[in-house]
Amino acid sequence: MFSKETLDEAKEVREQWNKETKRRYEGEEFASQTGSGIPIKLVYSPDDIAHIDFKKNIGMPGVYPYTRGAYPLQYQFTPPMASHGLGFGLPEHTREIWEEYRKAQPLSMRGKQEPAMFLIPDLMTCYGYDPDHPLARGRVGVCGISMSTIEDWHRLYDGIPLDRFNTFLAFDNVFPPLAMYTVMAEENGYTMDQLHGLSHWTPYRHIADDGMATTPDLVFKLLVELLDFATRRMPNWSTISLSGYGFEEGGANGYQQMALMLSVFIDVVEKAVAAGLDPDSFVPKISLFHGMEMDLLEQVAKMRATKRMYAKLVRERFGCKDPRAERPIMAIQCANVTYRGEQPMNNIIRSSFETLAGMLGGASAVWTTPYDEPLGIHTEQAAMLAFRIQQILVYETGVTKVSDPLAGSYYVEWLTDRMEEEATKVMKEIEELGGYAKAWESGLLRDMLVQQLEKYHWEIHTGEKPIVGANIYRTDEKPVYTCRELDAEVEKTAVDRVEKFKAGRDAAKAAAAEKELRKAASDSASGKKSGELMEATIEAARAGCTMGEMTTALNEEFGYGHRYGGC
Amino acid sequence: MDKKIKVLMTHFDYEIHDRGIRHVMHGLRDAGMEVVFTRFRYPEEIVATAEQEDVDAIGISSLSGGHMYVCEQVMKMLKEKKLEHILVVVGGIMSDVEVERLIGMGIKGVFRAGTLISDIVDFVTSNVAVRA
Repeated sequence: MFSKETLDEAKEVREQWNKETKRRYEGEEFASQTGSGIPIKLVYSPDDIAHIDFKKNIGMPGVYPYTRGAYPLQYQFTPPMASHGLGFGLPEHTREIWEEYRKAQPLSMRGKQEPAMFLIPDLMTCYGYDPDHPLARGRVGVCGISMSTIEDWHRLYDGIPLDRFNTFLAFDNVFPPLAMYTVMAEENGYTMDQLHGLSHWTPYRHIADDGMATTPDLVFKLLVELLDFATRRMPNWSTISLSGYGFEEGGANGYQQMALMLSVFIDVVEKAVAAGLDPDSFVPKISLFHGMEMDLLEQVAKMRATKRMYAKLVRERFGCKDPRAERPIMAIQCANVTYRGEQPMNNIIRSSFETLAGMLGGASAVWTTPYDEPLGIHTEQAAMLAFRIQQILVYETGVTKVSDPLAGSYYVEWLTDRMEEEATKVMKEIEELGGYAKAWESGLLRDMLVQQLEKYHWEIHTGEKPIVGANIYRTDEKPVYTCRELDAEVEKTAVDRVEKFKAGRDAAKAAAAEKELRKAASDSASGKKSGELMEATIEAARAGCTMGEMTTALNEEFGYGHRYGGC
Repeated sequence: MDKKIKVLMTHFDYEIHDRGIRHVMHGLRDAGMEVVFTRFRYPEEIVATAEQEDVDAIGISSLSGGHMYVCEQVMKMLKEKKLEHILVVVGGIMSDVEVERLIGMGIKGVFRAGTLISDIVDFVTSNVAVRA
């Protein structure tokens, strides 16, 4: 990338630096590494990136391989979209929180005025148990929204202009919630092609979940069904999110996160192609999602390397012709695991830096975690501050005026390359086992995550990994914190509502639709039929089946879900 | 001769956030305790396992909530089965109000975000009932 003259000069100057360093710091060792454990020098210069081909690997934003961004301009054209999670209590409580968000006027993309709604269900809704199930005692609306009937979907979304609005659905089985959303939208006069959103559905992240009874094969079958449906019927819906964030929270380091999400992508595309789908039709609606950890510059390198590796896979490995397929659309969330309960206000600083990293890396959507994350469901004040962090970054710091401003930095380009190199090694390991699904079955992926996770916490425990407030600069300060309180009547109300709904519906119609859904699920799982599963779920939603009924039917017949985990 | 302190560590089956409990288990084992891990769906499973495994202590992890009902039931059943010698501790995300209520139920140790592992180990060591 540099002329011989420049490199000779660089060598000369580095020798001067070497001499001066030895002289000044005689005898002292300064070894260092990134958050992921990549050994790093103390300073970088042109010779460190001389091997990089500018046109092939760096280039310009909006030009393959998109290391510097999917589009020629990014934040100059539109700010990133604030896409914060929310979910608490009954639908009306969650709607109240969304209205609080609106007051903060979160950053939104050109043409979309309403704040995005990244919906987080409570554990029971997530896994398909209605509030009247015995397992739901004490759990209704506690850590997310409780929803069971189509009426709940109306309570949450009615009045929002759905064609100018983005919603992200993070459920363990996204078929019932997506079905409910489309039926609710239809009842509000919106057709499916008008709906914008993302199925933030990551069943492939169950690699370390001992409780899962499913097989990787079934997980990928469901993913392919979703791709097929959305490609045919929901052109504005983003189907799958490749969640590096999920792996990050599960213990993977930076380059392992990259390797895992890209390996999922490879498996999904291969299986979808084998099922007869055309990659040019479904790849454009796949997106990437990264967790921003505290090693700020490594996060930027991670994002840049992922974009270029993704684009190369799409063009070179899968031969996609549609330029929209190549473009890496990437969102970020601050890494929740980095947030501490000790001295919680410190988390405001952490989330500021992590959000900064996300913007330096060109994220199209940003979730800045509120500082009280380790203490409870976030308060209005904490959520407001999170939006303000993004707004201050965009309007006051100037970091969004120039695309990919860290490009050309000797260190950042070197590290981007190294992240790609390390991620490629891990992907090769996975490939040698036969791909992500096979590597999952072998236990390799689980071991990879668990080892890293335990190492991370042990290093904090021993002090090897310094965390302000946790193992250094500790105080006896007990956080004074008033968390959001769940209304005492929530569980009773939710139970009453679902019971009343079931009593008032056409029971025969619902039962018949559930039976059809079970048949479609079993046919899909056995490979007998495909491309009908989502339609059957929608029919069940139209016929008055509850979330619990649909999820149970799907999971039981498909073989996806939890096994009994008791004693 | 001292018998190893035996602890049952458990969390809700659908809870996949297990970093905290894994770390606490690592700390307990490192301190020489015997640790049994299970996942539960209903509170009675916790008590049944505790009895079966003849543990000295039960540690319940709760990150997605639901612990109030579970703890209430566990303390009730331990009393009914005359297993009150078992030390019960709870860890995770909970409010000041919940902590007070849990202590009121007879749960001796409640550990929230920011607790040092060594504090948990010390607490269990000093509070388990001495075996005859």
